Amino acid sequence: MLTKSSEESGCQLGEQLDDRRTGMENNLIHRTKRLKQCHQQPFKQSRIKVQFADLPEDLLCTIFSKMPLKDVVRTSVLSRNWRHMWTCCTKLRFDGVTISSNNINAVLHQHSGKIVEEFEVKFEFDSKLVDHLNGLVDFAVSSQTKKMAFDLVPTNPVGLLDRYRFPFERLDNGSISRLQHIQLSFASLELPPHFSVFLNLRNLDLHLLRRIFKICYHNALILNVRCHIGGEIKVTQPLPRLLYLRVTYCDITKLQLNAINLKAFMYDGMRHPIDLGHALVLKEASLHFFGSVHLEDALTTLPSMLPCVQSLSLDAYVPLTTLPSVPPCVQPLCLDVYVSLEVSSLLKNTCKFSHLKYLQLKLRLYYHDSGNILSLASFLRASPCIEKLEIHPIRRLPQGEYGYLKNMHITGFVASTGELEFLLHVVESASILEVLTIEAAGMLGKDIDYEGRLKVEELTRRYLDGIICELWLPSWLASIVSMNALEAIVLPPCVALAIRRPRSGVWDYIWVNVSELAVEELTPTVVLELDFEPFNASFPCLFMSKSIGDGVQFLNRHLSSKLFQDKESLYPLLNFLEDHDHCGHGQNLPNAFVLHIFSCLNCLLLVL
Amino acid sequence: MASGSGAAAAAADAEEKESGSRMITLTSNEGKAFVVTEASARQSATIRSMVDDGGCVDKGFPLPNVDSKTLARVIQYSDEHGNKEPHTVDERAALAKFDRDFIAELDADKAFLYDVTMAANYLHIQGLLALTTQCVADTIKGKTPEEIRTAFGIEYDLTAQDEKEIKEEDTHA
Repeated sequence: MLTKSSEESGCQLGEQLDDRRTGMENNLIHRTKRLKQCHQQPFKQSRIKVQFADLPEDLLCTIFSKMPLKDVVRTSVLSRNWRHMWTCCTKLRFDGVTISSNNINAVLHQHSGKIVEEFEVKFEFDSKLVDHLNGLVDFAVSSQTKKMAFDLVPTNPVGLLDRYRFPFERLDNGSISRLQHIQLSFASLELPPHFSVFLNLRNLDLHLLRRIFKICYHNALILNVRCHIGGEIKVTQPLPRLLYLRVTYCDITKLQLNAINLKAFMYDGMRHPIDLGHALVLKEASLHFFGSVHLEDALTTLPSMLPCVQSLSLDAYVPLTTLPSVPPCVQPLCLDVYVSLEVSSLLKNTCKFSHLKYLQLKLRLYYHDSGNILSLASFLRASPCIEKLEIHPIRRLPQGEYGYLKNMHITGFVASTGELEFLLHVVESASILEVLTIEAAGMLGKDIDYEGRLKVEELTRRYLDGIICELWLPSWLASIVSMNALEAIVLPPCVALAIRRPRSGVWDYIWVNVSELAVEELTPTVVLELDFEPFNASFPCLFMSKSIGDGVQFLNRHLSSKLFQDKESLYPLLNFLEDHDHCGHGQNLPNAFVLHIFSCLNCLLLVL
Repeated sequence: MASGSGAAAAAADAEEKESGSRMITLTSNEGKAFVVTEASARQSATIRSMVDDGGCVDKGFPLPNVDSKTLARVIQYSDEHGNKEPHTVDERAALAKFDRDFIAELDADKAFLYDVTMAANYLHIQGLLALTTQCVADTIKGKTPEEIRTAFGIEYDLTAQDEKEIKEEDTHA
């Protein structure tokens, strides 16, 4: 049976036996042998064909997780080999349509004692099912679930007041610290008043929770809200632990929270009143409004809603004129009238984004508004500290002013009157403007024409004298950053970069002073490598006997795929930096240190 | 000074990478070399990270876990997905059709399908892995046990005792 050519299955079996008998050393010898065989012997086509059961355990798990649970369980009748294979599946999903409570109990019984990472239940809620649901929660607790979802939405939720109260008291300390993701739909979650922390909870997803919002979420770090029932969301208690709030596609008519420590807010939906309370540390906001938002509205209510925002992205249709559409040919005549109307009234506005440094406007402008782009200057007027402004209207752009504006990037430039006016306005008023980048509107097939080019050149000559116009720094730095630097630390005005790894683990460090454009090589006195929990206690483990000997391979694969999978994985870093910042401006860290963060420079800069 | 040469080198590198002209050699476990474009090779997260680490790009990448037949098929997929970026509806439809044909062909030979699945897993080609595992899952989904046994060539070896146990503990059977 064990022909040499059947390395895949044959050697593996041999190894398993050796593993058990003599352990590591023998295993190594056998591995070397096998590699040699693979490399030196011509590969024979006669090798034994791979069977389904020979697939690595994690692949089996992936395949099983793509099937309805009913089909997964049924594979146990196929053969002896398949008898218990399905229990390696670490995701359980019960879908109400096909599964009765008896069946669920049978499945749970077979799975008892095994780890279930993701546990999902989906069926219509009925008050008779409460005991059963509680049993499911118990099971999830005992099987060390990290992601738990209860979706109990009835087909016709209108008028139904009866909901499942999530039995919070059934969670033990272990599971409270283990749970990373909770999704409850059509269920209520009331936390006991003395309850402290879900240690690892990263994501709390609540659907359809109209008026049940009187829950204190003091522990969710990330709150995702999507609901399909109209109504208000109102929580008056302070939510000090709420750091991240995302509200998408809600039919709510009002959102009122008191999230005093909120750091990031994302909103997709209609323009309804939003009150976040005194969100004084909210630095980052992204608003996507359906329908139109008037400039006055944006400039008066947004600053009070987001008083300390530093980075704002606004995506909306913003009519720039209050008058009905103006035929383009009339535009030059009417221009003065409209602009003065708009601008003068808006410039009186006293509301300010007093901390705004980065503004991204994704505006959908109509053609007839193009001459009125100057009125966008009121955004700048309202943002005295603005450092970077990006405007991406569908067809044109303008730019900023004032004492801090250093960098301006315009795309889609067609040198229309409005744009030139705006450009002039910016150049005249931004006294320390360093970088001006203008890209012509190639995207719309309408390149800047000769006349426009002359105008821009004239502008440049008149106002940009002595200002670096075609600055090489951004592109140069950007290319280094994107190509070679996988690690960076920013200590304004300097950036330390770890670049070029001739081979893995070998680094060069440079220190760039951005304001002086000076680069020096850094001989790091101390290089601190931070390693954020590559392993932890809840790491998945292999338990099928056929996986013996494949542990290292599995770990490697698993680690490389899990590491920096998404932005959330960087939260430990953020927390680490914040902690040390609090204890005295980073004094606890060595002077020169380089964070080794693989390929996540962008996220890092964003976080910093 | 350091800045000058660094910038020049970085710019040269950037140019080279952008053009996508760099070729990468992948070597199967039989020692057969396959030359692919970098864009194609970057479909694999495993190779991508090695390239980004500035590893042995010139020497090529030995893949001791993948045989030539499998590697050739995997490259067929990654070429299609790596070298073209679908922009229009038609292009996307063409790519979807390629996927369908690709998997239909693999489905006929289960053992080869497993080889490709394991290679995709080893090389971290997410798209291909999703495609192949879905294909295996579809083979099982909604079928009777007898149909599944035929599809996978499974021998029925449960004893009467086993069957009894299954009936007792699993009402699904």
